[in-house]
Amino acid sequence: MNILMICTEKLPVPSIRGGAIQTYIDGVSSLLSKRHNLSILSVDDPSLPNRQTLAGIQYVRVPGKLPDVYIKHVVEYLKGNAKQYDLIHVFNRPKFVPAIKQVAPHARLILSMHNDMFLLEKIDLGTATTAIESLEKIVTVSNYVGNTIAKQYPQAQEKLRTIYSGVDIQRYIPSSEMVRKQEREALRRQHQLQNKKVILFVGRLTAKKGVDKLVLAMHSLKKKHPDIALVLVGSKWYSDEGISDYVAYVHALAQRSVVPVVTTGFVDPKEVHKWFWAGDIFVCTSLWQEPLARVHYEAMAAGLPIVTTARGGNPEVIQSRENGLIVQNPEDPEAFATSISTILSDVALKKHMSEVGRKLAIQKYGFKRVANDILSVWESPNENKKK
Amino acid sequence: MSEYIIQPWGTAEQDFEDVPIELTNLAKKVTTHYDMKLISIEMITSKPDKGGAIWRIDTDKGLRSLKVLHRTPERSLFSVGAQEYVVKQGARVPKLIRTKTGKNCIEAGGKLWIVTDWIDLTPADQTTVEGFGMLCYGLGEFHQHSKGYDPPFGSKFSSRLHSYPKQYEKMATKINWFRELARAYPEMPASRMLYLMVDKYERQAIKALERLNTTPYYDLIAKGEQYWGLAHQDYGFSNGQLGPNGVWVIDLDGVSFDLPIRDLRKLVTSSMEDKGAWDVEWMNSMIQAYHQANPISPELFEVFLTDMMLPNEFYKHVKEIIFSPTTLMNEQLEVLLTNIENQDSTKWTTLQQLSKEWKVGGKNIPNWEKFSRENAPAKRFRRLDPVDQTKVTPPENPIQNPESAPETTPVRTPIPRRRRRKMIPRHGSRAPLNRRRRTPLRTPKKPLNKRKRHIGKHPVPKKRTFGTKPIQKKRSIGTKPSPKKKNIRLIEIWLNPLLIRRGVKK
Repeated sequence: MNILMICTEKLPVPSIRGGAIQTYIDGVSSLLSKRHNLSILSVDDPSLPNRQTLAGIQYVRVPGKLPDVYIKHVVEYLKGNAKQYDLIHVFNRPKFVPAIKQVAPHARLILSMHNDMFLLEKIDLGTATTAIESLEKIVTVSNYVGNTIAKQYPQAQEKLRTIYSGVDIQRYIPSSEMVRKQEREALRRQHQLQNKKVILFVGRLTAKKGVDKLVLAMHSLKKKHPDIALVLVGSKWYSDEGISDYVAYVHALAQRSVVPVVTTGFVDPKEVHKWFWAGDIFVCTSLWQEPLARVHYEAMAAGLPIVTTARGGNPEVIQSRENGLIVQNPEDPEAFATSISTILSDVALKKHMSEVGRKLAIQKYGFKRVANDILSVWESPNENKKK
Repeated sequence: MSEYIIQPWGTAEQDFEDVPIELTNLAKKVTTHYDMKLISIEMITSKPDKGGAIWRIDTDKGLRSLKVLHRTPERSLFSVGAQEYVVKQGARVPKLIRTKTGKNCIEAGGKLWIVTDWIDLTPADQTTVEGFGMLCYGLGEFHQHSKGYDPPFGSKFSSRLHSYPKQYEKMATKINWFRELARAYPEMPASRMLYLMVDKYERQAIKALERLNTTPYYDLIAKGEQYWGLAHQDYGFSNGQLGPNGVWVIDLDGVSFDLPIRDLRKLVTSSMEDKGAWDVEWMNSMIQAYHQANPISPELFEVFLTDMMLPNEFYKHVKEIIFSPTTLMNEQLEVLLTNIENQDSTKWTTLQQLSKEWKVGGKNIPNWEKFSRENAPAKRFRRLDPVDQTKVTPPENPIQNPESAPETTPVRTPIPRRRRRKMIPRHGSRAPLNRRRRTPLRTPKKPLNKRKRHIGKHPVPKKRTFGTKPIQKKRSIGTKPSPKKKNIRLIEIWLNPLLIRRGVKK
């Protein structure tokens, strides 16, 4: 089949500037392109050409940044090219679907939902209903996202399917264990973390991610575990090193923490796995109803026990005391202190979680499984396979 | 247009040093896209920390203003479109001059640029309730004219209409951050007092949010952005000034769709801060002046009151500590906190009185439109550079027909513009606390001297006394008007050098 994937107007594909959805597409595109003729439409970037063929995938890039401008160019492109596509897979923009359907009436339409773009404040009822009607399937990154959509739009229920995202297993679990050890030691040495138990946070530094609670938790945690250190990997937005008020607040707290705190700023997606290797325990502090952060899969692949929050889809991938622990009240820093302490105090538990996590990552959360799931949706039996 | 991309070139405190030569060259290049010949160019104000600036340009078509908007082009386009729209609706806002190709703005260096005529403007009197009243009336007019705005394609849709609950919540959250910072930095002079105060103000923020949910807020915002129009978001004595026929509104950079009470609330509460104590009569006057230009419904007034119940004053002064707690939680902040506490004690009785009856009391000026028009400065001689002697025009008829279009305006004498000084976060920085240039507690007798620093920088026109009639009655804060006293104190002339004008004729 000839398939077109349409990414969002925010960041380009390949994910040279980061982005959760962009990384997801990168992860599966090479596997999908082996079976089908794949084109990817995304927003343009000064460092990327507007037309490119890489590893058998055609990349088309159009002006964007704002949704209105982007959809205009997308529609323009489709006007000339829609006939060649059997299937169009739209990412996270239900708003675009009616316009795309109009200009490509014969293509099958699939939508991938990565967060709450179906909320009434982001899309009006009429557009959403039309979009759902035009779609063959709505694929979501977690049951939580699917349930939220179905609550508002019951007619979507039969079209929903959860496909959990994944992690680049080859990168996170290298064939040579030596490589992993070396990088770990090097990074720890570089930041004076050699003998420390490193508590790792990876994510955007925004108030809804709640990382300030983790910094505050260090105070009481230090009493039980004097040799801990905290590493915060992330900035206020992908590739953005600007200081927002929240980032300034976290830095101000970190400066006075009784525990050494390392803030790395934005780390290139190609390098961030090294931080997962360098850490000892991974914490996700999200206060908001997070669809499902991919960092969970990355932490599992790197063999880190996980402490996460009972928010959104995050608990769906954690089996309590198997690969991690779930904090019920993340507004309270003490809750994190307690959970982290449970793991750090119990060496056997920590080891068990590390092993289970890694096994789960290999079995369930590689991009191969994700690609296979997507292929099964694309090649579903009640539709024509060939053009 | 060119390869050079405009970037911030310094800190907010910097003056006109270190302006990149590429920027100046780019400014000159931009002027070639307009149907005018550039004679001279002078930077008047800048935002080095953001990459924005305004130049006064002398051209063969007269004196004009050239401005580079520091926000992204998509966001700036929203403001440019707004300026175009409100001028068309009849607002006293500088009209955008078209390029040779008929566009109202130009993109260069990654930013948008606009050109307008210079408008002769005078700050309104900040010491009198009439001054505030005129400003409120002008604000109301602006809001009226902005209704129905439809932003151009390609512009970033900017609306704060729906953000009140989130904003109130965020304020409560950030007040908690102050608590944590006071705990983390206990040795700083202001820490203890801050730590003791946060409970009260956090509770105020939470209560305001609860109250918002009982007001008709949700019904009001359901009417939509176009119904409500725009709020200026940075309206005050520098962006609302007196010009031909009344109050002119400038600097529309940050406009966005919003309830009009956002601007009004900011103006009212900052005036209360200036006075040093909350004054219900003063507030009444301001609100009534606004109401004449843009009527406030009882439902909207409910939201307005709620917005005033937020601990805005506390939050505004303390929030910068986040960026540099080791320098900003100092003795100055301690003094500030004491002042805030004192003022807060007067705030609540005032709000209670206001909620009962705001249409009665205060300074009764039945026709603010007429008042503003009559008290706006007439045209006058402008001080010229030696080169421009040919441009001297004799004083024209100062009173203009209100119906005439406000186009033929002379040169603008440079006005001290309030520069927004956002703190740049620098660890270990010695940057002073960013206090808005209004000290909260002032004894009633002392004159306001905050614009002192700027007076020296700009040419002060010679005093011209064509008549002996004083224009405005100056009153010290809090005292009743004295109908007999007509002397203008010299110090006020010095503060407001542009206030001297010919007698105002009917």
